[in-house]
Amino acid sequence: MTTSRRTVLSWLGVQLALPLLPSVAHASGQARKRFIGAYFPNGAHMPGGIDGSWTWADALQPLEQRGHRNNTLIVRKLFNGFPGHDPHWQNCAGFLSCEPMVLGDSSVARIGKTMDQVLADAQPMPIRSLEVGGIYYHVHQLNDHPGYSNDYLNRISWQTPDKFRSPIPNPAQLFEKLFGGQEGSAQQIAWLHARKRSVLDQLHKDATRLSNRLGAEYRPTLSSYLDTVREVELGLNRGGFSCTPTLAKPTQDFSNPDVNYVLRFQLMHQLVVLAMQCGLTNVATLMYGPGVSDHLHFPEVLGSGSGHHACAHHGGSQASITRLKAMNRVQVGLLADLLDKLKAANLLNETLVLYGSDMSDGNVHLPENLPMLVCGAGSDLKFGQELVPAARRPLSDLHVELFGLLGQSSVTSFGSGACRSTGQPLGLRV
Amino acid sequence: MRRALAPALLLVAVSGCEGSILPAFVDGIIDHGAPTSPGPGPGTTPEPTGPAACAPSASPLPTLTRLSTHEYRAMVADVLGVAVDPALFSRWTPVAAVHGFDTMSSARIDAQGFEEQFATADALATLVLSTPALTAHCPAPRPAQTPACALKAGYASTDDFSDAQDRDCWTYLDSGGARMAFDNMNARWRKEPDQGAYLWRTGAHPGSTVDAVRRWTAPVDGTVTLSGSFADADTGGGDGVLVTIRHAGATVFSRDLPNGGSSPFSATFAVARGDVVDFVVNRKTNASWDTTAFTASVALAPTARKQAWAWTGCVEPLVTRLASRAFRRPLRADEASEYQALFTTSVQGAATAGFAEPVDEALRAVLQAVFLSPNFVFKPELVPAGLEPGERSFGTASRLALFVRGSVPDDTLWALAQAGALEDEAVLRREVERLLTQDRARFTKGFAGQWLDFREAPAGALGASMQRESAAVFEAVLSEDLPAERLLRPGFTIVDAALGAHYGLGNTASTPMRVTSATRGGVLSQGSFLVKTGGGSEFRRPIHRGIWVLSRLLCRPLPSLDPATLEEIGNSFNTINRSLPLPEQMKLHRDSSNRCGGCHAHIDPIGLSLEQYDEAAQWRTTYPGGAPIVSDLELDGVRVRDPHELSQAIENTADFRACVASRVLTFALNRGLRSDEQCLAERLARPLDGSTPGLQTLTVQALLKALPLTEVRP
Repeated sequence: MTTSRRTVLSWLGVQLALPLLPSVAHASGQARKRFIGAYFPNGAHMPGGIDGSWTWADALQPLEQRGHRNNTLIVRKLFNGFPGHDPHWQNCAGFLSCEPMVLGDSSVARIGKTMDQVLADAQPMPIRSLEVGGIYYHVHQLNDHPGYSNDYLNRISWQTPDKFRSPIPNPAQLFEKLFGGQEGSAQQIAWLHARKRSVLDQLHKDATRLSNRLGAEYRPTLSSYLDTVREVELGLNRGGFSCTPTLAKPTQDFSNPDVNYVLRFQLMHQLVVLAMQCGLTNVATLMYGPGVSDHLHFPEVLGSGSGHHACAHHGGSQASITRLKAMNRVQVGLLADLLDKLKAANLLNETLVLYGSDMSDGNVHLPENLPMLVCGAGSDLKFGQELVPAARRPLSDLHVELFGLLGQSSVTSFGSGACRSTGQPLGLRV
Repeated sequence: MRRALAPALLLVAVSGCEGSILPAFVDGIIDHGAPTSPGPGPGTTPEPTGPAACAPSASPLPTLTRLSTHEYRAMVADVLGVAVDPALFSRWTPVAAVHGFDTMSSARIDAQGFEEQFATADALATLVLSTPALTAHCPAPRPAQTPACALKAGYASTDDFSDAQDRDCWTYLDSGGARMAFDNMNARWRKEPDQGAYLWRTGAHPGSTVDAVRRWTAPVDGTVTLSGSFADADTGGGDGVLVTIRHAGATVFSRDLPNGGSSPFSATFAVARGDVVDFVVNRKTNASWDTTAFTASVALAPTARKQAWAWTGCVEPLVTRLASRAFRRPLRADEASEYQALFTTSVQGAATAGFAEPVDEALRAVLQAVFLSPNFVFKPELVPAGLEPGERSFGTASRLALFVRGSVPDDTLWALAQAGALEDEAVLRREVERLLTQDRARFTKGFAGQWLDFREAPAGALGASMQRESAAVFEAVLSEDLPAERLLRPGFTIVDAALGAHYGLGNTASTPMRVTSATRGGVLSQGSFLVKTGGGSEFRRPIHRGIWVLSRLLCRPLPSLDPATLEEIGNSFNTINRSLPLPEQMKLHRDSSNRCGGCHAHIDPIGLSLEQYDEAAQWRTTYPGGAPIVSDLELDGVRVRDPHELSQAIENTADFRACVASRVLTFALNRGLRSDEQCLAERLARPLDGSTPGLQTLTVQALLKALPLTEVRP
């Protein structure tokens, strides 16, 4: 096993001082410990909410071609969302919670805690969870929804209702978060960390003094500032892990979200898998694009043309549909890349990937029969099959079942209102 | 069909549309977060009968707001006095607008967002370090030296040994000063002619008349630390050796080793570039049995260029100036002593860690702490107890500067605050007028750019030209103190040739020039508004434009919608036959339910009356298919047939000028208006003496009213 892992690493151009990880084959029924929630916006080509291109013959082809059919379980007839809440916003922010947006104040976004964060609470790790995206922040220009903060389009990970976790959009930044990456001697790098800690200490003093000076009404604002300072400090105090990649920090220019898109996520996958392999974290979320955005149109692969959101609203135009289907295939190809890397790192059998979108048919914003996949390995789950419930079921039913498979069987109910889980298993197990 | 839209009727109808009470239109195209305690709209305020009508109401505490990204950017540029690359802020999470402006948010920053700000603070520290003007009062840094030989952090006599003289700063000599020759066969240096003096990787042998000298030359100024040992390695006999280390001729270490004797050595001393350190082995009385084992390592810490930069006299004045300006009040004693401690310990730490310029590294720590301080990024001067009693004038100066320049006070204002001169109302008024003139462009961008949505240019090749047009027209109305209504129908516009051609005007100059025009120049004819609201489907354009006019120009934001209405909105979009003419589609939409019709009866006609402007802001008389553009709005009993008549009708409503005043006052107060302040806005718009205030007068008055209202008790 170690051999194969080293092979992968040399392929990655990485030399690691690998911790001794138990790499036992996944035993049937044994709880998995890692979770990756992966979201793409605007739905796939699913005309009228019917399966459309979401089949082995079409969008899912890359999984088949790269040998992942038996790592993939298609789940159909799932819905998400709430009446009156635009699924672009609601089902992006609520992808991993099936909780409603709390509207009214456009300056503050609030929504229930998401699944990845429940899992992160349950198994403390040096890095509680990794959030990865492709763009710093998407401001939707024609946002005519009262009370809709753009935050809902930009985050799928919510630690508490008013505390989102922003995705890191740049592989170089993710590299730094995981492995440091500053230049200098070990002594100099250690001192740079100490310096950052001293600066954070100073900010802590300033904020505490300001908080004491002002009335009690102002404590919440300053304590949330202090909270953030502490979280950054915790990231510095991680220490004690032995993964030291000699891999250079990625140097490509990722400032334009539409350039180097595929490469960006290939590197992100590589780094997320490394982080898991190194025992830094067990939970990650991937945002392949913000809700309602036009990114994910892969100009470097498909040539220039309409953006993703524009094509999803194809209005019957064959050209748009053709381009949308091509986008779907590139997108699913990226999922295959993630699975390749998990498999090569011997992590696929202990990981569950939930991959899906906020709607099925983007043309009419339909949040029914969502394109949804569960990926992993092991003979205990119906990988390679298609699970079709007798009737429409809330996405939260899938969340609950995944919780059980991830060793959190105490979570028996998830989501709320119309999207609350039914208590009936979907039947992912064989 | 004609729809009557007299102000009173409109109001009643929009009130009916206020089913869910709170006006809460938001984001992008539509206006404003929900004021927490909405007063009645301008139109509902009963005609005040006298000053009593503006009696203060109970005042809830203002929130502790943070700087917007725009304010932060402007402030660091002003504090440092240099241009700051906007790209440093491209990764910052945008600050959401509250009450229509991004200057009033208290939203949290998460850890990832904070890391981005940290990276920016570090880049700003780099900017300070690379701006000599900021440290002109410090001792001049030592000039950079060209190393006399290979500069390394450490040298070792064994590892560095080679067959080349001067490599890695090592030279192999005899005591007469002659260079030895390399003997390849024996891999050692040899005095020629051979008389027994040798130097090899791990040792030396003195000659019968000369000593063996291994010389290290200092490549640059610095401090060296030597360590190593000599040992008489041939114990078969002889009288031992005399070993000596000399620095620039002076003896640093010397031992008379008996046969078989050995001695470690260590020493630390300063060296100048080109200084030599000689490791000498002498035969004493004879050179027999004198094989001497030798090893030495030389650690070199080059002298920092800024070694003379002390806290007092150099770093303290710099940090005090930057932090005071950034915090918008003098740096307090406890803060200064903490920064001093941070600097002092960091200098030591960085030197120990082996940084070439420990002062730079330490200064970086202090600057990061200043640029990220809650004293900088929050606005404590706007909340009670945010300032010390003695800092009152600085609070006034800061609130004035925040409003007009979206930044810190300039030198003049700062000096007045220091002198306590801002308590004088005449001085204050003079300063308001001075700043509004000096920083008119900043005020235009910060206030009007947000209110009228041109702070970010619309998309397209002409976007920047359109943005400039909107700013230039606003600045002209402001500087000429024309009534606010002239924003709607100025009678002129200011465009460059490209935009003039796009609009069908005759100007040809490539730089923006004033062009007389009855139709262009007003807010509703400006490309910035028309293009930003023109995107999306044809169906949405009149809706976006209608809502924009109601909320931005008349301060009648639409209500937040209950889930049932939102659901209907979602459904209605999908059931309308898009092949019908646009006005008919919109009528079907309105008629689809009372819920939709209630509001859209007011939104749609306004938007449809702007249909002569297409999505690119060009004039047209028919739709692309040839269908005529029909307006069916009646405002104030006047038929509105086109955008010009709409501008005139809005100008004639009682609400427009009051809306302008309430927007200015909201911006100046940095919070939503309380009910008595709605009344104040009304008074600013329509003074009791019946005069019509110009835009500049109105702005000055609003600010002079706002300054005492935002005065906080210490």
